[in-house]
Amino acid sequence: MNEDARRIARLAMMLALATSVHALESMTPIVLGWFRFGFANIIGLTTLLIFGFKNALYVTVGRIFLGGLLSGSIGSPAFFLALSGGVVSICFMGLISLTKRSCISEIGISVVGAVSHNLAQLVTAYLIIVRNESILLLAPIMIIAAVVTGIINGIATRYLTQSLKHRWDIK
Amino acid sequence: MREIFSKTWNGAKSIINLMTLGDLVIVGSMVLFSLALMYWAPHFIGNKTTLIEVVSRERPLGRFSLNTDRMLEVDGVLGTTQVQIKDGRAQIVNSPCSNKYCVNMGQIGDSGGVLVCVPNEIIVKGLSRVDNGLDAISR
Repeated sequence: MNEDARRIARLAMMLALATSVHALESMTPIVLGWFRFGFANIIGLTTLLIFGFKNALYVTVGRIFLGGLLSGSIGSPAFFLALSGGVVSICFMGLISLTKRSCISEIGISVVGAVSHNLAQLVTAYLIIVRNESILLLAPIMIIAAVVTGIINGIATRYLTQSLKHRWDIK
Repeated sequence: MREIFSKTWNGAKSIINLMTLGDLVIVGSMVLFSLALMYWAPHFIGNKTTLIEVVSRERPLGRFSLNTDRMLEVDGVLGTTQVQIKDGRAQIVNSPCSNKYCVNMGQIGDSGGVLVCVPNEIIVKGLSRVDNGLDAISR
């Protein structure tokens, strides 16, 4: 009972953290067109590594809905782009995280998540907005960008996971 | 300058030290995959020319698919110009003009192009079916 309440409180904190990071990032000026770091994924991946796949899915979907409410984009194409990217990337990261950490670390998982996030967004953009095959030519550039941001987020995830596990006395 | 380079190199090395073998394999395969896509994607995704439009004396006469072989007889100022569509390519094969530049202009294939006979006032344009009219911005 006590353990359960503690887990729910920690998950709620992760969700709050993810939402605020998501909202803060959507406020930062965009320097390079569509290029964003996706820092909110740090929280999603940390949740995945500490609490498991189901809870990570809750946190990610909840984060996207709350972020949509905050930025007022709920129901708009941008919201569906974020939703598809988030769900697909958390599914791929869940699959990859089944391996041993000594084989594929947080960085690898984060890179896979970032790449699948970008590709899912590109396919969604093709299906619901642009409907022109030419935008799929962006895919290689988006993969390169995702690899860079994935490595950065992965390193951040490693430190966050270590410090949270230490602080919460898990394992 | 050298200091900046060595600092960047040390930073890259320290990042690589943080990664396991599996991470390196994932990153390497993603980069290779994107490079391969960069090379191959334009071959698959391109707005291929699938039809031609024939214009005579500034009046469009119609659009014809490149998939069906046929011979078009187009009336111009001087007489009849023959446009041949064969094997997905269009070409002017005969023209009443004196210089025959249009006959020597070559063919319209996958990558499009335009054939013009100025004396006879005939233009053959390659078109693709994809409509580029849409635009969108998303954040």
